[in-house]
Amino acid sequence: MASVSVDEAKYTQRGIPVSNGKLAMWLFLVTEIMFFTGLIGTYIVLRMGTPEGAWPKPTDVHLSEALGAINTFVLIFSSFTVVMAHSAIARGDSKKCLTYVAITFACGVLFMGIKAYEYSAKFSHGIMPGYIADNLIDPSLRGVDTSRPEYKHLEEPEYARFIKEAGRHPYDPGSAQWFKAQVRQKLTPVAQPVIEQIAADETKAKEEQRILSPEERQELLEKIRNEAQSAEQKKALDCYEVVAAINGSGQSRPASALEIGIMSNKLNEKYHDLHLPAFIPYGNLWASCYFAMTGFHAAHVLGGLVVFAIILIHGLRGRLVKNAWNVSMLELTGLYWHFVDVVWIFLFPLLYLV
Amino acid sequence: MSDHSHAVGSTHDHQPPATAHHGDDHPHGHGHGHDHGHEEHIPDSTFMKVFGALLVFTAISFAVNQIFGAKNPVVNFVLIGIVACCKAFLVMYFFMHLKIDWRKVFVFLVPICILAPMVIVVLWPDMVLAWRLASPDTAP
Repeated sequence: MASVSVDEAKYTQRGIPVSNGKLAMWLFLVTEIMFFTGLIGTYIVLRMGTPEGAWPKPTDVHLSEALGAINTFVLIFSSFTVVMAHSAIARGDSKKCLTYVAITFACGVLFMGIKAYEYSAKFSHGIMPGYIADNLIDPSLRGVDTSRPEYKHLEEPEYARFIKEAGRHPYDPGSAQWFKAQVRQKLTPVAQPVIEQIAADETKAKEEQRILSPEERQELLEKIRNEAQSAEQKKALDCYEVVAAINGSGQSRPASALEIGIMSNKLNEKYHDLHLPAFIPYGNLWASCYFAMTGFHAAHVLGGLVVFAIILIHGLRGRLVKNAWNVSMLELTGLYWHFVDVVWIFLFPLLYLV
Repeated sequence: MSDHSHAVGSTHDHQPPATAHHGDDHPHGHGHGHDHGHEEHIPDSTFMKVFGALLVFTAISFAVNQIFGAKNPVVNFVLIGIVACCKAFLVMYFFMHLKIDWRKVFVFLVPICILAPMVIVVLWPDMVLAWRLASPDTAP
């Protein structure tokens, strides 16, 4: 038995010639590599698995290349400063090390600030998983639109049954009905002056005991268009045309959700302040991938910031002096931070460029 | 194999435990910590050059996107992917000290380099090829 114990002791002393801390950090990092590979890999196969050119472009989902580039610079710079902090502490230059850690911390905060701004822009445009009108064409789980002539056979009771069986409410975010209702709700106040002008003519026609014919309505619209001078009046008219298409007034049928989706996108391009719900094919899939990847990455940045805050406090108390513990702490924290940088190096081109 | 294991073990055996260094002022090689007795380090000037190279590579990925983004998405994807791999290599090799530590941690990284692409490879037939093979162009 004694000889076995000696052998065991020898065995436990063998192994990879790195410190326990570095061994633990590298083991942690390889699990992290697999974690992010799962996320990034899923994104790549989902994207490559969609029809050519159908995947949302960065501009479709309000992604700013400039902001992504700034964040890339910030993170690369912070990687540089953290490696310099480690170099400084190894030389015994505590002051310089503390300065570099402070810069790294500031870079991390700036990165999170820019990310928060980007997220708020997504939320204000309704770009969230499950909230994007991404399929207004087929009567699938999303996007059942009974106003399309080919689906006219799906009468209300049948449509209600279909939706019920699918476990969805007709006004679920992303459904065709919800989409049209949202667009109408946002456009009606802007189009109000035109709606009132047309209502006045309708009242006049009613007094003459007749209804406004489609031709008369068209003439009236032409007249309003010709008289429209200010940008505000022209905007009201553009918005009215979409509201009229949704309601079906003056037309043989209400426009389909797909048609409204295309109109809504054009209006969004023309008037940035409208913030209409966008019609983005594969938008929900994109949003799920985007928020999962960048969200987990941001959580890792936050984790790094907590460690840097602890190191900063440590340094401000005058304890960031050269010793094995501090050198190792800076090196291991740096390894983690560089890994976070490497993840962003792949996320940035995948989301903002290609 | 046993000789090799013994050699690695022996090297390690000669080192005092990491905790024994706690609080001392023993000079360390950068990126080397207290893993080995001999000094190896990457100079600060190299870190500066790497930082510059990372910025240049970022600019290159922008330029590639401008040139090929609209014209040839596949070439764009491949080129930008290569640039991203170069950037990741620079960060890992210099900033993460793999230049020094590779021979110590390659046992983790080599399997990961095989397993990580496999995640994508195993999903590819169902998620990508199935759709492409079922396109109208290839229908019988």
